[in-house]
Amino acid sequence: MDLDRFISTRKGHWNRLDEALKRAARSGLDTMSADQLRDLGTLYRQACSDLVFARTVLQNGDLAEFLNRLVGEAYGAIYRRTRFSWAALQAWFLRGFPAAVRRHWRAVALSWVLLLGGLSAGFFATLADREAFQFIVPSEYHGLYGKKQGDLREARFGKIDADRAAGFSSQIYVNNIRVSFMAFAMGGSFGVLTVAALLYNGALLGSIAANFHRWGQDAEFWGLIIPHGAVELSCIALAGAAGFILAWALIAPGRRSRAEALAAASREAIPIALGCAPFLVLAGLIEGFVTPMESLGPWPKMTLGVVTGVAFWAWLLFPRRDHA
Amino acid sequence: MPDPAWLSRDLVITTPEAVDFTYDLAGPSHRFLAWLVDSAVILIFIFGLIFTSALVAPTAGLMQAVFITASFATYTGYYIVLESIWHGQTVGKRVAGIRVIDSRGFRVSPGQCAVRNLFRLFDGMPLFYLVGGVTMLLSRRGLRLGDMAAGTVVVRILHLPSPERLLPPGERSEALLGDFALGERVRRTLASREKDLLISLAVRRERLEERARMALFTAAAGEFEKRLDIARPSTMSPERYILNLAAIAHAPRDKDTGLIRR
Repeated sequence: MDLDRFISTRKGHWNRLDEALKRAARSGLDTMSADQLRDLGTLYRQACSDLVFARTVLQNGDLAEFLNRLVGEAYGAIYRRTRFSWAALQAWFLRGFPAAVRRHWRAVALSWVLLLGGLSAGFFATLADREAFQFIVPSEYHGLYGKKQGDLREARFGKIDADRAAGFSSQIYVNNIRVSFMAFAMGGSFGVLTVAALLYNGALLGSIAANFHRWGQDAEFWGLIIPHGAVELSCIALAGAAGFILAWALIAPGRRSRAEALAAASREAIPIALGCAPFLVLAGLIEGFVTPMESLGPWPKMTLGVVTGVAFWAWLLFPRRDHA
Repeated sequence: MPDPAWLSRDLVITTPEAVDFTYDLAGPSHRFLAWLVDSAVILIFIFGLIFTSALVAPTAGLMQAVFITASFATYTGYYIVLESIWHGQTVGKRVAGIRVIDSRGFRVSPGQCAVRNLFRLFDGMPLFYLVGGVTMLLSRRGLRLGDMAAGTVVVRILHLPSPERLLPPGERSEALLGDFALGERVRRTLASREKDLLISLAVRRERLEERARMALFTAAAGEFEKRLDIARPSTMSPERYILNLAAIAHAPRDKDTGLIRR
């Protein structure tokens, strides 16, 4: 069979396949009838054999190139994984996220140990040696050094009204979502940067806490941290855990290549990294609106923080039978 | 400078029907172009957000909240959302003619889009995509770390015209196509390889640079004029002459009689 015969007998099929693919790209395979789908399958298999024929028997590069593209497109359209749907996204968040946290409790625990370890190290180092504060805390916060409670609120929040609080909370949650996405991606550094970020952020908080402990203002200080911090620090720890899942795949890929292990680990870790985002928005809103409220004393605010934190972890750790 | 070996490499995918097909992997230049265009789009969009947030928000604090939230959603979500709904493409990737696909030849899933784009935070470190750039140069398939983590590759998409469109209706010349005796001469005189040459010229013409295209078709038309002894009408461009010859040489024949169908 020569080329012109081949093209003239087959091009009708190719055009039909092209049309079917365009239709599938426009409105999805779901809208096609059973006949159209069967047709698509047949046309695809014919194009496959035509591609082999064009390559081996006819040895025409241009025709093979055209069929190669056609087969590639059809393959992508036919062999595929589940499509995006809001129901799937919902299930992924409500069930996939907590399930991933439970599956990877070791990584979560490691994150917490580093975060709290950094916190204690920063706290005790600053208690033992006041100079440690200047060393650990960046200079923009040095204004906090040795301040009394009234000044502390001013320094941290300025003069707060509801309007400023809106802008302030958005800055906070955007920054924290960014940090948690970073912690996830930093897993790519074999975990080195994830460990460093968790230790440092813990130490920073611990060092500032020690500074206020020296002035006997523990309740006031923690009253400004715990209300939002319970959920916020939890999310930072979870994002760190997502990073460790990736890091472990790179450190010990097993029988797979590192790239394959990394890809598998990403599928495990991504629900955790993305699942934190809405909770960080919640924490940001608390930090903007509730934390600076003068009318509420430190103890009610801390209670609020503890309750949200406990509720968050209860939701994560205890599977719900009715949804399972 | 010699091309790094992987620049010329293809991604070969074997279907369950045991047929191989290939994708051209996109090189750094195409990806850089796409990134440049996408960055410009994001920048313009965020610039527009400054004005819209000023319009919709009644107070300064709310305006700040709307702007900060929307611009963060834009630069984080732009790639994830567009690649999810446009099957691995963004505005920039469309301009550059490249697409993200699953490394097994499937379309990308939204989860893969999220992974490869959140990884920009690490691939972009410490400046100008240094981490991503180095992994691209080291990896066999030219992948940045985000691609490895997501199990994706970036491929070039070539818009090859189907063989049906060798001769667009506007280029038809009834004087040549309608002449049966002329048609038989073309089909009998030309060897199979010469007919293939006509097809190759027709198929590839859109991919040629303007001047090269003119020169090539002028030369080819001259050769075929001599070979076939069919004069090119003075009003007909060399390219149109070749396209019509290609159509004549590959005109469909009736299966039983072997005659040309009209």
